[in-house]
Amino acid sequence: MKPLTSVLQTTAFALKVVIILSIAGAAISSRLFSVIRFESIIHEFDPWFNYRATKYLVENNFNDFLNWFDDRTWYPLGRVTGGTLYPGLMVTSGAIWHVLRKLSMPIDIRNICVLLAPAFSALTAYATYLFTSELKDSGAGLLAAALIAIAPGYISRSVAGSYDNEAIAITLLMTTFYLWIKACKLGSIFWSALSALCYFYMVAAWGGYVFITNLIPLHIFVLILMGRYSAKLYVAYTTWYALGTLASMQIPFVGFLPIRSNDHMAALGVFGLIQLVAFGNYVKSSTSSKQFKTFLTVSLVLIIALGVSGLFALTAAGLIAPWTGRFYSLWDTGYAKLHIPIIASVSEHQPTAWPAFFFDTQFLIWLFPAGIYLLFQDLANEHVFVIIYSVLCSYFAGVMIRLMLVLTPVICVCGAIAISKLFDVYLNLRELAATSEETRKDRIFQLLSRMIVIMSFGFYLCFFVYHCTWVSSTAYSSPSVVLASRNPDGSQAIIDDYREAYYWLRMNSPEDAKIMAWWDYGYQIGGMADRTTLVDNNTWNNTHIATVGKAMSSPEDKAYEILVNHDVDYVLVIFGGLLGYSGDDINKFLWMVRISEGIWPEDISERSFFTARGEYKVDDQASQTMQNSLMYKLSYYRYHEVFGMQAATDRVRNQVIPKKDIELDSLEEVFTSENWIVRVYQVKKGDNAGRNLQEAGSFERKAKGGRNRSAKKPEVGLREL
Amino acid sequence: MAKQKSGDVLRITHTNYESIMNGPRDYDLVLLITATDPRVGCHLCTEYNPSFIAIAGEHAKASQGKSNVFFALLDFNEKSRPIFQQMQLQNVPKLYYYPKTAKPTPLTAGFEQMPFMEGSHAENTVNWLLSKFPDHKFSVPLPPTDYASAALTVTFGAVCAYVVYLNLAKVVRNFLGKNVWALASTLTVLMFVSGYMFNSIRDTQYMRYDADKNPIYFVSGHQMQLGVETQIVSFIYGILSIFFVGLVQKLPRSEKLLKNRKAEFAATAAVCVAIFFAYSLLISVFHKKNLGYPYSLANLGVFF
Repeated sequence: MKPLTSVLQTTAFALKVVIILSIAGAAISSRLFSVIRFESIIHEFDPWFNYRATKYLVENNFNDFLNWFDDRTWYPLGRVTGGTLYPGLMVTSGAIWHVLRKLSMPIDIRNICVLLAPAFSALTAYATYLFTSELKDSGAGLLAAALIAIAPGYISRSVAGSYDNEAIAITLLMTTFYLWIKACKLGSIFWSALSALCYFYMVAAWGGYVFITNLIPLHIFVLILMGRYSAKLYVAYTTWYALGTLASMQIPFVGFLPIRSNDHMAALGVFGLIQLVAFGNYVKSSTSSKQFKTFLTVSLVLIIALGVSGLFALTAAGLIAPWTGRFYSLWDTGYAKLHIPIIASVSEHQPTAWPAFFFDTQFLIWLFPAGIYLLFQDLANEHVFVIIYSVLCSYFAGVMIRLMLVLTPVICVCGAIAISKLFDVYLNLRELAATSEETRKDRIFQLLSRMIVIMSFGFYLCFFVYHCTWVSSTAYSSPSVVLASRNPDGSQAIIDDYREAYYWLRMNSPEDAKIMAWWDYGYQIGGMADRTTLVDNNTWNNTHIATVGKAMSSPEDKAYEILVNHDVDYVLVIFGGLLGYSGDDINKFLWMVRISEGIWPEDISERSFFTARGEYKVDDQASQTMQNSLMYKLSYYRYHEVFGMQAATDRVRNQVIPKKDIELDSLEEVFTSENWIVRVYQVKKGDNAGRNLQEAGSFERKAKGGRNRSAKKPEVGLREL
Repeated sequence: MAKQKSGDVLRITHTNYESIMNGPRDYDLVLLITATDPRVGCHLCTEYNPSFIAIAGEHAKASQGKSNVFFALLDFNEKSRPIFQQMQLQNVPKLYYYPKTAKPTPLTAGFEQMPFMEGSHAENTVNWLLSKFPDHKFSVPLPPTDYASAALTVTFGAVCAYVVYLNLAKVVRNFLGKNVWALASTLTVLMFVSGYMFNSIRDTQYMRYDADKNPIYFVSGHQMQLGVETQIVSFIYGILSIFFVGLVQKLPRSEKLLKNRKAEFAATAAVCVAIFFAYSLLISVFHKKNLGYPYSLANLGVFF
């Protein structure tokens, strides 16, 4: 008998390895759509900064990286980049680059950056396998791994090229949780220390670590309330908290936050509480129950009073930082909308409507509640953890669409456990074989009822695969730097205006040129054009962003003052009117107005950008302020020339642009990309004759007798569509 | 002028509008043009109307009827339709301010308009009025204290508390019971994943009607949602979850079904078919939101 079991075990092990390897393969390959369709390119906005920082890291050494002061962004302020970023991502790819080079496999750092997220998603699948195996068994684990490998909610942030903190953070999140559950089960300092170590890596990688910082204490707190305190929990939590907190304070950007910010107070509070509970348990074991009751009441009242007043006193004294804005917007959803326009303007901070949940997890979303219910049937300590995680995170994901990413793993875990329980019941062949005394007819019906369940859920699982492939291929694989569209004959057309323009800047502007654009494009300009920007996606200085917003929304003469004061050489605007590309600056313009109105309410008023009817228009009904604003002028400068005699239609807003000439005195058009998406203007230096530029401009116009501009304008006839 | 006033807001009708709105006036007029009739379906109008009347009331109280600022309201109905036509109005609500004037003005001129922006409309109105009349008092009224309701709540609460107290042991046992918590967690999750927070943050409309007064339950778009969608979708999710739990837990444990395999098959098949149709319904509903979604099971979209 013995050899057979060992053979079976070996086969099972080999099968598991093969399955996990195939899951890893599926995870990686389903994220490569964008590389195959376009090329190995960094996506979107933030990844460009991460890429630039990684290049800096591999070109210099680690110490230089930590002390990096970047004078090429936030001109003229600069940014203490080394101290204001989470270095985990860059260090990871830097380390991979170095290791591969030692193995004499020199690979371009860009390719490592592009492929880092798919590689880590394979690791996430493995971590999820381990995590779910702890909750149920390895069968459920494999299923969970397969689900997370292709779930669109996770793919959305981890396709090849999306080189962002989240790419490695989810892996670390699942690993930390696995190690934490293991530590709780065993009460082992070893596992707990590993968990803390992984937590440290997570802190180094992503600001979302605060979720772990609050979830693990909450787990302990609930377990204490359930009367499940044990020495194992004490060992696990105290080790994790002490090591994890100390380690996390080593990250320059985090610094002393863990002992000062309110976000971290729950962890500290539970740390105190568990000491008290441990002490109480000790007292209980050595006194009579009556004495203990008195002791309990008195000490409870004292502790609560002390704790609450202490918290208030410290906050009042300014020793503890108030809730940080981004975190606060999670709890009081009205707060962000009213007080921080910059948070309200970021689409990642918008609430989630139900289609997004379905889109990202398909049928798992309705298995999710069933899975939670089934977890309650076992309810060991680790199940409590998953339940808390689910409830808390579904709230967060509902408030902020970006946090779908954190919810997806737990949905996959719950869904996998639910399906696995179903399969346990209906795939149990042993039971089928055992019922021998039944009639044949009964057998058939028994078999049939199993078949129908297994087949229908097998079908749903296959359907899920189709759904995931479709979603990741159509929705989540666009680099957004390069756009794809279709020609009238159905062939694919690649719209590469961004790179065209950034490359033009790189080649044609002086190396120290300062470029003003809205903050969304800051990282891309830094990464692709390698030029100095005024503001970028690291929105640390609201006033500076408001300055740019003010320049864009002011009339040309006032804007010119701002431009000159900030040494701006080029102004770059994104314009989608010709192509019908809706993510352009005119559509973002109201946020520029709002943000600058927040700082200079006396100069900028949102109201004046609307028509008398309160509509936001760009046609001849547009308000005078709107038509005079720099943004409007730069967007529609010479636009009607494309259309010749026809009416110049803005295809995003479906409005006709007035045909009168827009005159620019202080800026001149130097570059407009193929589809007019990017328009670059050079800021004129002072006039030779010492006049101001408006006077010079109007004089010139008069002298030339109406409209007659210099000869170097490009032939617009070619660009007519 | 004061004679025509009934309450704090002057109602403008087709009989008195010319004398009031054409001028000349020795007073300032704040006019709300609105359409509270449910048939018009102006959500903002019905929502804003009470705040406007309350602000007018607060102002009258604060100035003890001596104010030179008058509040007026023009509501859309069959009789007042000509006024709307004369004023060339396309959409409501509108809040106009007509300053004092010595000579008559045409209906389409001589006023300033308050923009309806984001945020609390009552507060915006007060701020706007304060900017127009710096030396007058305007304030957002607090909702009146409803003593009867408060007393009822207190009594009810006390009775409940007493009942709970009498059955404390039972309540504690049940409250700490696993199933209560399981149900609570499941329902919370169900609520959140079907977009409840979106509704509460965005203050979404509950339902819409098209031109023929047919109800619209679903609007397309991933970042659009009606209140009723959350209810429908959470209901479908809930049904699917219940069926699933039944399949895993109830059917295989039922003594009756274990003895009768035929009945077991019938029950299992019924649940599977029910899951299939509920899931088909969900996907049909999703088609309404995402028009390009390529897959479908049984097409049940006709129900919506």
